[in-house]
Amino acid sequence: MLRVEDLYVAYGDIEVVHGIDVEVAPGEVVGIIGSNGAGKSSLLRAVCGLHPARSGEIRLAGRSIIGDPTFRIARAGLTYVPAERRLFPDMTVLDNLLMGAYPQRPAPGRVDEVVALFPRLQERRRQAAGTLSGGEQQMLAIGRALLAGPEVLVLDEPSTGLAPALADEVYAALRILRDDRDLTLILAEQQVGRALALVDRAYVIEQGRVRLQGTAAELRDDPDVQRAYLGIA
Amino acid sequence: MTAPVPSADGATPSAATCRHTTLRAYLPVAIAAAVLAAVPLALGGSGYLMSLATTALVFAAYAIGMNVIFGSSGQLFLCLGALAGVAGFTSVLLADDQGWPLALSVTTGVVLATAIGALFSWVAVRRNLGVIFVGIVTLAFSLVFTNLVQGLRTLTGGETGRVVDAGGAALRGPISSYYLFLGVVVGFLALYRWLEGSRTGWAWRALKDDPVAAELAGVDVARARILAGTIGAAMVGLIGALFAHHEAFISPTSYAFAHVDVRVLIVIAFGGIGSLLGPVVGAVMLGVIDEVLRPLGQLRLAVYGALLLALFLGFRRGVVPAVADVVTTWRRARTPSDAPAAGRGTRASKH
Repeated sequence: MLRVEDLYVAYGDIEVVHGIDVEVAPGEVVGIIGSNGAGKSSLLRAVCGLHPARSGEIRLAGRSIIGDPTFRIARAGLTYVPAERRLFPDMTVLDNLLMGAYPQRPAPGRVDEVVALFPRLQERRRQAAGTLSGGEQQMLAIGRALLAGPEVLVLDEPSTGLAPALADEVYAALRILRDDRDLTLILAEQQVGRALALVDRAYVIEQGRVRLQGTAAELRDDPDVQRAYLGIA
Repeated sequence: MTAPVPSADGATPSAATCRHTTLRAYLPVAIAAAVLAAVPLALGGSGYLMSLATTALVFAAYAIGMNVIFGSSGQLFLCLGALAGVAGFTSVLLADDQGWPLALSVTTGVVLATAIGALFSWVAVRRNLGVIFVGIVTLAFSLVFTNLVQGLRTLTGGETGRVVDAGGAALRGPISSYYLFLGVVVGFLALYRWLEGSRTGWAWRALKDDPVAAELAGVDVARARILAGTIGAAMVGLIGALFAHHEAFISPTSYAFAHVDVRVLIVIAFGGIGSLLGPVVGAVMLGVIDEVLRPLGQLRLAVYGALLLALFLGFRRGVVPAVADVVTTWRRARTPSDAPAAGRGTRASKH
């Protein structure tokens, strides 16, 4: 579904991603894990076209999308939810959701389906998005992305800045999405334990390179992963 | 996709409700048209007052153009006067010197102004210019335009300007020209309202809130911006050309930055940037202020500068959105608390 080959990403002279390969099959749930500054966000920002890649190849459903503008990648079926959420603060919750379906109008009932996933949004439908709490904003960001009807949903640190209880709520919704096998899910996360409980497979990124990859179970049992990310000595 | 526009509560309305909502969205336009159409009756046929009213309409129309360019997509074009002047001088030169029919000369002027506006938007998007840089580039164009007109004395009449022959009764008569410009203003308002509810309008709302988020949601931000610059420049060009033939005189002063851009900024800042009726309310207000300040002569400009400062620093929201908020709060206080706030957050919310 998504294939990243030998990707290099740089900010000015500083290269932050040094030749990463990632492959995600349709319907798969894949984690990109690693600590802060490892290059996860840079990788994802290059995938969705927000930051130009220095070199390499990115293919979505077999078609090269490298160098495409972000809106075209979004319309091609890859929706990115950045860590900072990027809602439309002055629009209502409902208008944010409707905007997700741009340039189409959502199919009848689609908004209700998404809101059913995040009941908190129901109560806040007419409220401006900028007035939501952090957890609600994250739910709205994911909800808006779902209204685009993506084939690949890319989530960057969905638990960032959330109290554990709210992060649990977000992850509960992600588990429901995981079981929908039409959706391919890519998840970058520093909270490695959380991520490994959700994903099928994961890539461990360190200093801009893939350090390890494997199924969630393999990585949970890996002594290096346990020591570095799971706090198990 | 053929699904109808979802209503504020997310339910899918029937086709009848949809049409009802659409018509209601144009109600403010119809009311404004009716009120403005009655103005000549109230002014009792005074030629002087009619000319003031017509000038107010001209500035309302400029301001609607600015609302499309700046209010919708955040591009600070400081060359409205120059764009209007390009269309004005082009049309006058073609009609008077080359003997072109008026409709054709005006159209050519508008096309030229539109092309220049589109070019500025395109450059701004390509070079990723921020608000300030768009302002600087377009302001530079204003200066170039003024100097060019003053320099090409044989064609333009230089600083003193030249008399315009092409015009005709409809453009020159005090009453007929008022209704002509009223027609343009109402047309612009209807177009603005239609754009607001269109896909393009949604794109503008989104990119004004957050361009990156808009791009992530699938909005072609570059296209939406260029479209705003193009449509707005066409509006400004049309008014600029018609104004020259209406006045029967053209000079760089009519299109000077201080004369057009500063006033238009006051009009939209006062009326409310991005509000439908803001330009009309602001232009009427400006007309009144103009009259009150008449005894000050050249000093008026200093007062306008001060006014612009005060508006942008202290009252950027504008009078129309402020009044709309008061009305909404009042209506909400009258209805039970769980009733939906009147039209808030829907496409028809801005009056």
